[in-house]
Formats: sequence, C-alpha cells, structure tokens
Amino acid sequence: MKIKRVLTSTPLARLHERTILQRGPRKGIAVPWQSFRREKWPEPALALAYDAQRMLALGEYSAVSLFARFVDGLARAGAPFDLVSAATRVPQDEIRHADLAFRFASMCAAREVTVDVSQADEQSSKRWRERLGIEDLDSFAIEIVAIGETLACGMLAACRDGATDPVAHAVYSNIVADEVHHARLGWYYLLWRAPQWTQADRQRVANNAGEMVVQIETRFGRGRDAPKGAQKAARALGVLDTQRQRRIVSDLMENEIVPGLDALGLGASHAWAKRRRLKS
Amino acid sequence: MGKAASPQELADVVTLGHSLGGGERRALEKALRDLLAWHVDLRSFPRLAKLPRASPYVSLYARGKLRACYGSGEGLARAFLRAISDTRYGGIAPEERAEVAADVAYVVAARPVRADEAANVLEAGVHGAATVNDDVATVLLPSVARERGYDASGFLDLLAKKTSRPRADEGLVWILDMDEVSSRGVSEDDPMRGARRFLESLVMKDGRVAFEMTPGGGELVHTGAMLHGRIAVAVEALDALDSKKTRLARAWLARQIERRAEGWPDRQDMILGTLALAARAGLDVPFTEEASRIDVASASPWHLAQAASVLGSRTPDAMWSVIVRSLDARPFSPYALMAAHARRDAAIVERCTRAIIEGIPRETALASVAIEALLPLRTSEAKRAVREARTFVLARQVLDVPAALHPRTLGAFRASPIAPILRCDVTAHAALACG
Repeated sequence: MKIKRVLTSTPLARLHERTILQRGPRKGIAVPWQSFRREKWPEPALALAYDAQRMLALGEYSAVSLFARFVDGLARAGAPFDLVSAATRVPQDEIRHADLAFRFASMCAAREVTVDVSQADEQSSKRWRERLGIEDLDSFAIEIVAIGETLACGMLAACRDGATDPVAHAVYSNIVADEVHHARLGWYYLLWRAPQWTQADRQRVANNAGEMVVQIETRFGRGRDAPKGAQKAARALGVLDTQRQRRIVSDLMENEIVPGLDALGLGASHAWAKRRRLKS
Repeated sequence: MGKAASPQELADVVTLGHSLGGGERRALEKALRDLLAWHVDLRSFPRLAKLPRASPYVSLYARGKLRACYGSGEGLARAFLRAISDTRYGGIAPEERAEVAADVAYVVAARPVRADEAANVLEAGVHGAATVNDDVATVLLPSVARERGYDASGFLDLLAKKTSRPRADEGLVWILDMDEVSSRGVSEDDPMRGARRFLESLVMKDGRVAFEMTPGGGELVHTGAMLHGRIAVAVEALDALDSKKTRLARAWLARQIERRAEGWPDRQDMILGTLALAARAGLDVPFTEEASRIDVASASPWHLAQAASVLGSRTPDAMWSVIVRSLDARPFSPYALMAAHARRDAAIVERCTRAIIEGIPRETALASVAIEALLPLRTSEAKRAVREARTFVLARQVLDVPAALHPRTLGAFRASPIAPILRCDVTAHAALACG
C-alpha cells in the first residue's frame, strides 16, 4: 500500500493543520515552511535529506498502527490508567511526525512523495500478533518502546543539533520533543512490570533484550554519508553521517540503554560485551 | 600510494575517496596477475602488497566473456576467492584457467540522486550504480553497460532486477564514480600513437583494411555496411597519423573501388557517399560524374552532404537545396556545415553550427565528425563545444585494455560508452577529430 500526504476537504483538515501540526497535544514548535530555500542546497544533500525524511515518514506512519496495537494490548491487560493514557497519545504523535516528514521530504524532492508501507506492514505482522498478550507487551516495550524510542530520540536529537536549516531544525525539534515521552513510556512500563515478573518471565525478557542488544551496533551502524562538497549541507539539513551515528548509538547504549536494562535485572551489559561488531 | 582521504561508506561498501594513483594501479595489476597465476595450480598463495582500503569488485573473463564477478569488504584476495567460485555467469572451466583475465573495480565516490532522477544523471558505461536495502548495497559495475549495451534506463532496470525489487521512482540511487584496473597490463599513454597502432593492425600485408575488430577475440571482420566508405575514412586517418601503411591501404582501396568489389553499395546515394569519403581520403575517384547523375530527390541528405563537403562551391544547386531543406527535419549535419563553410554560405554555417553545438550525440563517430566540422570555426562557443566533445571522444579510447577486451584492441575507440563496437571508421574519425 502506497501512502502520500492526503487530508480531507472537511473542516477537520484545518483543525489538523492548526491544532495538530502547530500546537499538538504537547506544546509544539511552529515549522517555518515558507523559509525553506531548496536552491540553497546541493542536490546530493537534498537527495539524502529527502531519503532520510521519506524513511522517517515510513517509520512514523507504520508506528501508528503498531502503537495502536500496544494501546489495545495495554487496555486488555488492565494496565494502569496513566500508562494507557500516555500510550494513547503515541499514535497521534506518530501520524503528526509522519505528516511533518512527508512535508519536508516533498520540499527536498520538489514533488509529492509516496512511501510503500507494505513491506514494513508485512514485517510487523510477522513479528507481532494482532492482539498483544502480556508477554508480547513486555517484548514490545523492550524492543520498540524502551530501546527503539530511546535510540530514535538520541539519533533524531543529533539530527536536530546538526540542522541549521530552520525547517529541518523545527521538524526535528518537534519530533524529538515527543520521542522523549515515548521512550519514557517504555521505561515506565518496564518499571511497572518488573516486580510482577517471575524468574522465568525475567529470563524471557532478558533473552529478548539481549537478542536486540547484540544486534544494535550492526543494525544502527550506518548513517547517510554525503559525497565530498555536500557534507556540511547534508548535516545542515539534518542528515546523520555514519561517524556521528556510530558515536551516538554507542553513547546511548553505554550510558542509557544498557544501564537501564541492567537496573531492571536484565543483564544487558553481558549481551553488549558480546555484541556483533562492525568491521572498520 | 594515492593521497589519503577519509573513505565514504555506502552501506557495506567502502569507497576509495580518491582516484587510484600510479603506484596503487601497478600494485593492483601485479596482485591480480599473481592471484590468477595461483588459481592455475593452487601452489603458494601470493603475498600481496599493501592495497587500497576499500571494497574491491573482481570480474573474471575468459575469451572475452564475463565468467564470474564478486565484491568484498574484506579486500582483494577475498573478492578474488569469491569470484573464482561464482558460477552465476557460467564460472571458469578448468581448461580456461590459464587464459583467465581479471579486472578489479573500486568505487571512488558515491553520489546520491533521487530514483526518479537517476536515469537523467547516470552515464551508462561510465558510472556504476547502487541501491541500499536493509543496509546492504547492491552494486552494478559500469562494465556491465559497456559489455551488454545497456542505456541508463536499462541499466537501472537491471539494478532493480538484481535487488529482486521492481524499479521504483521513490528512494535513492547512488551514482558511482569508479576506477578500474586490469590484469592485462596492456596500455598506451599517447592517444594518437594508440589510434595509429590500432588502425595499422587492421591493415593486412596486401593492403586490405578490415572493417572492424571483434572486442573479445580480436579477430578481424571484413564485411559491413558502407564498407568502402568507412575504410576510406580509415585511410584518411592513417594518412593524417603519418602511418607507413597509408600508401598500401590507399592502393588496395583504389583497386576495390575501381572493381566495385564485394561489399560495394547498391544504392546510388551510398555509392556517392562512398566516393565522397574516398575523395576526402585523397583517392582519385569518378566522383564528380557520380554527383551529376544522382537523383537528389530520392537520395539521403546525409550522403548528399558528404558529397557537398568535397564539392564545395561546385555543388549542384538542386543538391544544395535538398541538403538545406533537410536541415529542418535533421538539423545535426556536420557534412552540411563543412559544405556550407566551403561555399562561404554564412547563414547555413550559422544554422548548422548552432544545431551541432546543441546536439552533439553521445556517439563517438558522430561526435568526432562534429568536431571536424567545428574545427575551422573561431568562435568561443565552437571552441568550447570542440573541447567538450573531444573529452567525450577521448574517454572512449581503449588505452588500458580491460579483461573483457583482447589486447589487440589497444588504441581503438569504442563506438559509444555502451557499444563495444570497434569499427575502423570510429577510430579513424576520432583520430581525425582529436589528432
């Protein structure tokens, strides 16, 4: 299924533009769309920024249904209201992020952009059941929410910090502001669940976390490297190169994720020590 | 070794970041030859010199045909070992081992372009291309387009096929600048010396000139369309290059034309074109009589223009009118420009010049004839066009014989970036344009 940025022609569209894109459920940052000057940037940098935004749009759009399943699972599991409530905000954040990314991708490409969600949908269908049980929720919280969103938050923050283009900076700032809450949701869920785990549950979750941790360096080890002459511009548009991405992933793993998982008694430092490493 | 630079990474592919230096090229050439020698009997694996820290792609050829190809992020030896066990292109038969030649290609730099723009940016036969899926780069080498005649669009279709995904308008394609080194070690520094050497290799002891050479086998072919006309261009180029074989070849061609020997065209306008080219090559041929007899209404304006380029002010009015009228439909006409120049027809010179400058084709012979036509002009625009066209033409010359080509092809000019055709007139036109 191919997705492009489409709004209805009803008053809801105006509401979406005003409420969701400008203010949102949390206080957002207005994106100065009009200030984008495409001609200012070299084509290779624009191509990389377009690709980064297109993939971001794909990820964020796919996350809408994925998090909806998480919300559904939490409600069915009788999770605390504050967790359910925080989780219900995530799909709305994700569609908002997808909208921002679609818009910026289209500006970088100077045309309408589409993404094909079929493959991502197929992969998530293989990995996650339609109705998530409590064990699935644990795995989901580890993989997608705690580890995934913490990494996303750190990497997107690095994109924002490098972005000097006002549109790129505002887009990333908006997204990062929400991702922080998403990452926290994952850790809060795990804090709630950890005391309930039996020894077997803990081992199952630890295995799950370990499997993910050993793959992080190779899975997230490559950024988007611009050719000579376009590196500064790519960075200014919020593109993360391999060198910076590796440094950020390593920092996040060693200072936040692995200690966090260890504190939950999941022994992630053992897995991190045995991680698959990138050749270089 | 070449200048150190921080390599760019394209998923699992490490780029060179700089063009290969002379020392690096020699080290790679030797390493390829040593690895090929080891492959024959598997005795004593060679000690390889320090080689570039980038991902090499090794292609193996036997009898001019690709038999295996593999890349590796772990250096040349690993890529070679993978290639010798690759059977996707037929593999290497035991009896072929001794005659296998190898090329190694490195990505110098990778430039991202949007997939919907890629066909406009990619120059088939010159650039490689890659896409990245799940952090793995799928790379297609420029040699694939050269050897199989793919244009940019066909090349990108093939790249998509290699990834087992349909070619999409969304996403990125990486355009790759590549450096290639061959195990053959057959090279030439001087383009015109190379062109003369190739053209002379087409001339037999009795003066017979071959029409073309097969790229992989180096065999001479003696038949083809406009045989005598194209050979006349080769004779003209041999003369321009001060070849000792010129007189022999010219005498043979004169005999063939007099006898209207095998391969002589059956169309009147092609006969006229052949005689015009022979006259340009300094042969005494019954050209004026043929021009006066031609039915201009049914003749190809291209051949009429060839005739007019020799006749100049003596071009019959009816013939000139047909040539001028034809410019509406086919404005690119270098021979018409030559003729207009000879006739001092300023309006047509201006018109033809503009059309040529705006539309020099990416085809070696036509680009070369365009250069020949523009050379007498003194405008800065014409000079710039000549410079750019010469750069294109010279890039088509085989100055470092790759594994896919026979060593005898050294010095030849390819018909285009993607056409492995080594016809006598292509090299001849290129030599006349760039000499």
